[in-house]
Amino acid sequence: MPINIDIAYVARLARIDLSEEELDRYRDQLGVILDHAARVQQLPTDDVVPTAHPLSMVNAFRPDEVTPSLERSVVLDQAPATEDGFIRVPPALET
Amino acid sequence: MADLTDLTIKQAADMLRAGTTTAVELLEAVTEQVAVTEAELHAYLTLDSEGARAAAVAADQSLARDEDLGPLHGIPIAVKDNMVTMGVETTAGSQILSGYKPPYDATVVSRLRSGGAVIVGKTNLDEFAMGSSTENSAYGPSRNPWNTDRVPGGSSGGSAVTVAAGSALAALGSDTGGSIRQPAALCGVVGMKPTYGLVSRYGLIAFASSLDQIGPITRTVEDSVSVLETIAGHDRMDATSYRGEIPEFRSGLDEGVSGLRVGVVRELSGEGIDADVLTAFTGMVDRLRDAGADIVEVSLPSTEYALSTYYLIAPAECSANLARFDGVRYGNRVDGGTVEEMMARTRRAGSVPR
Repeated sequence: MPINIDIAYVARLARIDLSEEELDRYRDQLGVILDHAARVQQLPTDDVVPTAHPLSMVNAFRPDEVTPSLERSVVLDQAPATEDGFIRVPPALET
Repeated sequence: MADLTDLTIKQAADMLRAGTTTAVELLEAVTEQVAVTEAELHAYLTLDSEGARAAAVAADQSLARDEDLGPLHGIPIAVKDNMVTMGVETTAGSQILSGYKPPYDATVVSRLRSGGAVIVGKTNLDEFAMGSSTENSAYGPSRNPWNTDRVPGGSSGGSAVTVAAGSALAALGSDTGGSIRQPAALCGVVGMKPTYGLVSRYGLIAFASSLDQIGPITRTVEDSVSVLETIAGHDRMDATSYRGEIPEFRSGLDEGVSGLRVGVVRELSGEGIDADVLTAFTGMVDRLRDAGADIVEVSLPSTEYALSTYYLIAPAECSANLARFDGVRYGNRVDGGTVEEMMARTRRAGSVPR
C-alpha cells in the first residue's frame, strides 16, 4: 500500500530542521513504519479486549491536596533564557 | 581479602554488618575499578564522586548506630542516565540535555537513597533509551567487558557493564522492549523487567509510557530481589503505579525450580534464531528440566505481528514524550527569530541523525 508522504510537512509539524538528504531517508523510514501499520491491520482484533494495564486497575484517583511545588528559582535555573521570573522565548506571533 | 568489587549485594551486606568492611571501602574499591576500566568500557556518563562519598559516610554512620536501612544499605549502585538525579547531570544519552541538572530525584532514586544505597554515577545508554547496543549514545558507545570488540547490548548497556565489570555492585536499568533483559544477557548478569505498575516511573525520562518499566541489574537473583523490594511500591506521582499489596519476593529464593512451571514459547524457539543462541537457549531449558522444572510448550500465534506492533506503539508514544525537548524550559537551545525556528534549530542541533 504505497502512501505518498509529504515528509517536509511532517518535519514542519514536528518542528525539526532536516536536510534534503535526511528528508529522503526519513521518508523511506516512515514508509516502512506505515507498512508495519498495514500488516497489523490484517490481524482480526474484534474479539480482543483492549489492555491498558496488565493489572486490574481502573482509575487512579487521589485526594486533591495542595502541596508545595518546586521553587520557582530552582526551575528557572534550568531554562535557557529567563526574564523577570518567566521563561523567555522568541516571538510566537509576527507583529 | 576477597576483591570487594566481586561481591554480591548479599555478601557485601553481610560484611558491612559484621564490621569486616565499610560503605566507604566498598565505594573506594568500586571507584578504583572505574579508574582502571572506564577508558575502555565507557559505562558511565557521569560520576557523582562527592555525592557518593557523602552517602557512603552517612551509610557507615547509620550502620554504626545500628540503624539498618535494608538490603542496599551502604551498597554502591549505578543508575541509568534516563532517571533524574537532583543536581547531578542527567542527559538520557542525548546532546539536547547535556549539562541538565534536574531539580528533583526520580522516585526510584529517592527510594535508593532512603534505603541507604550509595549512588556511584549515571550510566551510558542509547539516546533516550532507543536502541539495543548502546552504540547510539550521543556520548559514544560502551563496550562489553567480556570482549571489548563486542557491544554490551542496550539500551541499559552502561548499567549492565558496571555490574559485570565491578564498577558497581548493582544497577538500575529501564526496559521498554528488552532494554534491561537483553544487555544483562549480553553481559552475563541478571536483569529483570518487573510487571508494569510495580515500580514508579516518576522521574524516568519517558520513551514509550505504556511499556516503560524500571528494574534491577544484578549479579544474582537474590540481589535482584534486594533491589526490587527497595524500589517497588505505590507512588502517587505515577498514575499507573499499582496500589495493591506488593508481593513478598524473597521467600521462594531457596526453593529452587522444582515444580515450577516454565512456559517455552514455540514461536520464539526456532526460526530466525542464531544457531549458537538456540543451543544456549535449549541447553538452559534442559537444565531447568533436569532441576525439576515442569517445561510446558505454549503458543503465541500472533508473535509474528509483535515487532510491527512494537514499531507502531513505541514511536507513537515516544513522539509525544519527546515533544517536551523543545529548548523552552530546560536543556539546550539554539536561538531563532521565531519560537518555531528556535525549536526546529534546537532539535536539529540536539539530536544525532540516524
